[in-house]
Amino acid sequence: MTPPLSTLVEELLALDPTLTPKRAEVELLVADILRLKPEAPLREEFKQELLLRLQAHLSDHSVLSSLAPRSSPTGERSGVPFPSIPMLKRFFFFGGGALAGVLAAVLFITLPKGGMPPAEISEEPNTVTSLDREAFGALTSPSALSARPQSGGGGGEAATGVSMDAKRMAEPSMILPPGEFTIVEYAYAGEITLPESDIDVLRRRQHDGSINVSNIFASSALSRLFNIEGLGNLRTQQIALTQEGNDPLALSIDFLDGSIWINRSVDYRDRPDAACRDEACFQQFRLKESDMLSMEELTGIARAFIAELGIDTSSYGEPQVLDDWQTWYALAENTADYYFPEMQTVVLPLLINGKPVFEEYGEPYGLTFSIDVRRKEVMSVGNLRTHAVESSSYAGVSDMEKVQTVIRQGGSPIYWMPEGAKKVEALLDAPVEAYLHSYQWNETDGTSKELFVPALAFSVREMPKEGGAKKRVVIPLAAEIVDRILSPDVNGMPMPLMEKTPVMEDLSVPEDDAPTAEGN
Amino acid sequence: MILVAEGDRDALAALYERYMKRLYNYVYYRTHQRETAEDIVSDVFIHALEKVHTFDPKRGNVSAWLYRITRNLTIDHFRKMRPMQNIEDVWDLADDTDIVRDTDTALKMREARNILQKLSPEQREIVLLRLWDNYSFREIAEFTGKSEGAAKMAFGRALKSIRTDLALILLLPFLLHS
Repeated sequence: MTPPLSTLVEELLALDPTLTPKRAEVELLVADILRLKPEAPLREEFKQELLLRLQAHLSDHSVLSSLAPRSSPTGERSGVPFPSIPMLKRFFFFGGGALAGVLAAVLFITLPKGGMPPAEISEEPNTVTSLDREAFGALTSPSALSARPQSGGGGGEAATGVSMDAKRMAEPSMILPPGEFTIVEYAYAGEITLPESDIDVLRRRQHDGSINVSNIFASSALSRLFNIEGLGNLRTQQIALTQEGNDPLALSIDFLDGSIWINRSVDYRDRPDAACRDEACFQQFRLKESDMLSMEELTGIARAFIAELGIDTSSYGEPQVLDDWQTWYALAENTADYYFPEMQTVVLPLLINGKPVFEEYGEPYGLTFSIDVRRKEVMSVGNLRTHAVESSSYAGVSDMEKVQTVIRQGGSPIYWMPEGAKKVEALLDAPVEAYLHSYQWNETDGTSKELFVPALAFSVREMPKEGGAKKRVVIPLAAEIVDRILSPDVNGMPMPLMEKTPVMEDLSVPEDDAPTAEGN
Repeated sequence: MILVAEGDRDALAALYERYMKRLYNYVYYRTHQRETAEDIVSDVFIHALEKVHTFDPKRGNVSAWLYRITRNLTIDHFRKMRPMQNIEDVWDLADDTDIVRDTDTALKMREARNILQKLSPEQREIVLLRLWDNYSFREIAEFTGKSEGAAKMAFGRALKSIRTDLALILLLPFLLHS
């Protein structure tokens, strides 16, 4: 946490007492610099996943590699309940020469000795449990519409309803003149059917599929280190596994969250451009537009990977390619300088009650495959999760005028509406029924909830040439969320430029302030 | 660090918990893009793990060691994109057109650059380490190889310099029209 402004100012004045008469100016200056500190959106999923990877990496290179059993009991299966992935099953067999590699079991002892026995996995991964009305509490939080840590980190510029022209972003001017903004207004002229009464909002449940760790531990040479039975009942929260061989797949399995993350470990130092030290070399190996994989290639690679691992895709729709690079490429002033992404993404949208789920910024939410363009290979899989949910009824939105306003804004608050901004219009197609994936983080108590809110999803019929419009506008049908989007608390938040900057009474520069030879 | 070097996962988790967010912030403040920050921070920790045996507490503390890795990998990131350009600090390259920055951050960066552009790379780094990254002068001194007093002096002079420049910028239009 940043120290209080007063502390920083006192510190500065102590360093240079000659500034004391200018205390107010110094305060404003420091406040200005603090105000400009960007919010650094750290995704909790990334944080956890990286730790698991590091722990697996640590195990790979130190202790476990030396302690791993040379021969181990065969044919004994642990009871780990992820039967839909054949490859994963193989990780739990300790047969000689078979895929093995139990790397790390991150054990969190959550129960005292003699406590509750480990939960048995008996429920279907995707179930619905009905709860009382408004059982989830508020559907929005003050920070939810401005932070959105799990849904795109703010959604990129299109998510705000106000976006800058990419060409303008590239200009070297330090302050962006207001007239150079392009605002995308979304328009839909057809009929919209709003809910006549309450709607059922869904909240994803924690999986709580903990397993008896002693089954795994007993099969390991590590069991010789101490008597695990002496600790009573233990629950495994997370476990990391990795494949043997080159370019192995590593699995991060979170039993409480009910999620599996798959990453391929690759040494990118082997890439042809890794040894480049000059521009010509880099240019030689730069990806070109023709290197980008087509939708057919990408979906083919994803489907092959799904088949290889036997991933259950019954809860997901047809693959879609996220091709944002095309949008940015089209907007780039100098396409020769455009750097094409090394990864392309394929998403199989999650279906709930047969309806697709979208993120707040309009992209599909679901099983996500990152594909290396050069290797033409799946490098990671995200959002392979259980989706058991709880259901609770909330007031549906009935005010058509509000809905039209939210549509015009693109489904988001307008954080900043500069005067004189250029406006372009994006026409929308007829909506489809969908769900909005909303991740609510409560900064106060550190809790979170993951909601699926009934919504209408409007595809943009034709992308405007400027402004970087969304491809899809997602309008939640919960009255509370619509009101929050339109709330003055989150709309038109001031973005002051230099107004608050102090004006000095004395312009002269004391001699002792003159730059030194060191530049100080 | 000794425990981490010996493969202690709990020690790694503690180290990670202590430094991860600060290192992520450092990278994000300078690259302005979440995905890039995630990539670089991942590399930082993997690099740190692979080199943990080379860590020498006599030559500096963990924080400074991780800072140097983070700074070097961040510069490497930009150097890879602009290998022919002389990179005094990452700030110089963070304005390149091929970086698609998070919007809110992009707006703030433009304004921040306006305020901080007159500083030397070293001054800028010290100002940001203190005001954005919230490192103490003692830590900053370790990071930059200065004495604590010199770090404080550099910070004070930098702020004074900004204050003077801003006043000139703001009053220039009035002077021209008077």
